[in-house]
Amino acid sequence: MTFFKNERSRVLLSIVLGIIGGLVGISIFGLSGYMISLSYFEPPLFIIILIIVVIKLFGMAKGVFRYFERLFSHEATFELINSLRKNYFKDSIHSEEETNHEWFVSRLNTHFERIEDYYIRIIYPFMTTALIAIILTLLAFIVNIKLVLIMVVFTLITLIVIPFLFQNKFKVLDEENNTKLDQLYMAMYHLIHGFTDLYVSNRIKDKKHDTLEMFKDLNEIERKRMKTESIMVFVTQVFQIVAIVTIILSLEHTHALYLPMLVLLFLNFAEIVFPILRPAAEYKNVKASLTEVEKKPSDMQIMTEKIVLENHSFRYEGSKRDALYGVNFKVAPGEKHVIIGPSGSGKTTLLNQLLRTKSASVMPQFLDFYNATIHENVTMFGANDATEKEVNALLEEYKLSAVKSDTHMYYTHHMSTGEQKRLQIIRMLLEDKNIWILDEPTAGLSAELSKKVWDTVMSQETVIVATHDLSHLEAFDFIHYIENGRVLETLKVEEAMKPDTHIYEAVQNFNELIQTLE
Amino acid sequence: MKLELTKKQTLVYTLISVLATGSYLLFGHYISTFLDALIIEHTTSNTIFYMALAFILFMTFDFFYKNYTGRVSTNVVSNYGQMIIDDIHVRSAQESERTMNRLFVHLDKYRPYLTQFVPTIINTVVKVVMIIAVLIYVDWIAALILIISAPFIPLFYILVGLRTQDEAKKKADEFDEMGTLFLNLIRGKKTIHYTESEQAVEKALDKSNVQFLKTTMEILKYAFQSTMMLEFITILGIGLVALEVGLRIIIFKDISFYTAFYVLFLSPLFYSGLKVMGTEFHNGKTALAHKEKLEEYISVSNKEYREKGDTLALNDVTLTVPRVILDNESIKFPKTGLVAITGQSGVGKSTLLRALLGLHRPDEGTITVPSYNMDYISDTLYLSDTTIYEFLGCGEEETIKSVLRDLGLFFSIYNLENGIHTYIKNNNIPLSGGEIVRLKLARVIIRRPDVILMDEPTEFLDSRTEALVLEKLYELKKECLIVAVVHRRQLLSYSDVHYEYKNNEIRRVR
Repeated sequence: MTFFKNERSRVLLSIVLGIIGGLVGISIFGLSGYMISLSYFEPPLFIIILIIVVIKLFGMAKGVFRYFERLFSHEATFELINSLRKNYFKDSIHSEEETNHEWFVSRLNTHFERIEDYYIRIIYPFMTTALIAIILTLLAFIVNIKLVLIMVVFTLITLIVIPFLFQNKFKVLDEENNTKLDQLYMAMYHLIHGFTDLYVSNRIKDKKHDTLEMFKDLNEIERKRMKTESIMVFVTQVFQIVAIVTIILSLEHTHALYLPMLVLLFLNFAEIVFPILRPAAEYKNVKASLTEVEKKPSDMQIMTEKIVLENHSFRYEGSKRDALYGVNFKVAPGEKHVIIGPSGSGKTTLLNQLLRTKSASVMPQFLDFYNATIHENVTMFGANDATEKEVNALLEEYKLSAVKSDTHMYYTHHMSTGEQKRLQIIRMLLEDKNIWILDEPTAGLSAELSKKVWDTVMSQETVIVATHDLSHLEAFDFIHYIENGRVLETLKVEEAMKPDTHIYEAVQNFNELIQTLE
Repeated sequence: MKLELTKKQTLVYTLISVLATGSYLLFGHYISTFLDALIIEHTTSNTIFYMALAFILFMTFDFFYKNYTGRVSTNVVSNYGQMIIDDIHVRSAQESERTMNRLFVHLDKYRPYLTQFVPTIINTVVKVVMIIAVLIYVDWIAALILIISAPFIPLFYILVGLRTQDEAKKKADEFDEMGTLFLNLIRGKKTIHYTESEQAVEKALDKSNVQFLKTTMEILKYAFQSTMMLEFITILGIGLVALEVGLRIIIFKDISFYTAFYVLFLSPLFYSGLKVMGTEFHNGKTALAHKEKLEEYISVSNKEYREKGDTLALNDVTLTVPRVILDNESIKFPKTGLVAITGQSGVGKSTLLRALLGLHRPDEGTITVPSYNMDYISDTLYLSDTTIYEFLGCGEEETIKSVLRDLGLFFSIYNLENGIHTYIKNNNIPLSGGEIVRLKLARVIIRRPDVILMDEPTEFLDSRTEALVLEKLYELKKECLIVAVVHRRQLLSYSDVHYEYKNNEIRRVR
């Protein structure tokens, strides 16, 4: 289909094909109706044969038109979705929005599915049907003005008034559905991840019961949607029968011979209206999805050349306390810094703030891998150069020989935390940047691999690490102790190992833990 | 394909279908009668009134049919939802994505089977049979043409279906995977940002998009081609019927206008029914594939397996995960005091605690418990969709306040906007690590269980918190039994009994 390079022409073409196909389809019925009326007035046989041949040809043509119409409209739609996706991707890379959540991703997916629907189930069929209606109305002039009026009224009511009247009902249901879905999602998450706790506190039964009730409510909304749709069809059918009776009553004396044709034509036209009733009424909902994905691009962050935070405070959106409070942090090239402190003290938050200051190789707390090959993952789809052989050698070096450079990864959770950490190290090595910022680089690694990773990290030029593993503190130039969002101590390694410092106490605790385990 | 309905449901569906189709056929009958009178005899009759009435009947039955479908499908989907929710167990967290998908993806994609496939199939079968029956009576030759041409449609589906099914299945898998790359990239956008690889990734996304489009169009082409072929078969049939009618009117002059019109009214109805059946067949298959995913799960019995006894004890217990982690072990725990268990990570300490809690059934042996009133202080905590008050067990607020004050938590919690009634969503707990440990302790102190199982946090706490926790545990162990997985010497020194867990066995050290 290379001869329709541009989406717009394909959309237009598919609509034109749709109209022709639809008209041909309807005329088949009209023709057969006309044929029998005619037959009783003893026409030459060849006319009847001719009509039948035309019916057959029309039928074939309709099939072919329909085939190309669907092909073109689908292709154009998917291309449109692709470019929407691309834009969305571009815009979201630099946005602050938290996307590393299953719920967000599944929501996004729903939006895109809906937009796909919007074009395939709403735009094309609606436009096609509306245009067919206009053409049929114009053709009605051949008969008389009464028929034109009936056609106009019927078309307006079914294609515009009824969808418009039901629009709000669908919107309300949709909003209710989204709220309930959010709640259910949270409840399920809680049930799954908080199972043990709910169990020991004897709340599991109640929680399961509540979750099921939420699910049932949601299911009920789906039933209401179906019901609303059937009411809509019912109302339309009322207008359909009224229209048929009106056509018959107003034409029985003047155009009796045309009536079989007109009745069949009309019945058929109504058939193509029903499938687009609900999509048309749901127009508003889809529109909301479209706005959702067509967001405004966010501002790029401005990087400085130095890693410096001065009296820096930070608060997460929606939180009442500062996650970081009055932090001073300065890193000169070639220095190695380590941040320690209890969990929840603000280590990760501090690292994230440092990341904004200067371009660096990063190992964040949660690692991202994509459903692509290992090679694509570690080179970031070719952003960093490395041959398959080099990648394989690195995999070998970091004891990841179970996978090869061309192994396809399905998703992040198919690998253990330790494997992910090592892959990230390989990724960072290929990036070849002077500054490394790492959050818990050795979590989930055996002692041997942990040493290997520490060696790699410490051989970099400038290093900032947040860790719970206090066994390598002496290798750093500066140790920072953070608690409750405040950096309580920043000491050189030789100063830190004196009693009465937080750092000393933490190291004592840590060593004790290691000893007990051994 | 089975319809998965109860006999009663099938009967109701069939009955309403018969009534709806019957009314529609009646509508056709009256309209034919009316037109016959008008065109041949130039008289108008009041059959137009009956015609409208028949149509209204049809509309009403059709409406009932849809509502009945809504009721039946909602019930079935609810039952599946209940099955999935009931099935959530202690190990669900490990496959959380799969569990979520069962409820949010597979069940949703199975729904059309109930809302579309089943009602359409029953309705179409009824329609096709009734049309043939009426036609045999009205014009047996037309009926014969329909009967002869009808098998071509399913036959065609079988032929095309067999050829394309494997192909389509393979493509569908590829399709799913490519579709997720975009979502995957969005999910992991931070890494793209850090590695400054937007351009390379964008190119990869483009490439995948193009491939995606190509594959999608290939799958669709198959589907559209089938539809086109069906259209051809249909028009062949309708054309033949039209020819038959035309010839009989002009040459043989042996049928009435009524018959001619009625036949031409019915035959398209017949074919459209068959066509719909074909497409629904494909949709039904897809929906059923999701049902399989829905039903593949490890069912874990939630039944209580522990027995009531004097003390907490393991009697010849074997535990597997599925590798054996404890082999035929017996231990009798004291009534009160602190029992410390030490051991390398991965040896099975947490599973042992779960077994004692009633969440991991032993493969052999029995576990006795002095009381079912147990609590568990885990080293992790996931809180969502709840309040701190709910977490603490919803007791007297005054008691809660004094316990929180005692543990030095009062200020941090009552400083929150809604105090203990602060709603926590998605594990966004507005407390520090040390505070969360104390919060768990607070619950134990409030609830006063007979047995406390505990995983010592491996992270270092500030010395003040640690001292406070130890002090409270010292008080608690006088009245109840604490079984703790211990990582630190300090807690070990507070213990009355010390077990070491090593090589599938638990040895008493002290």
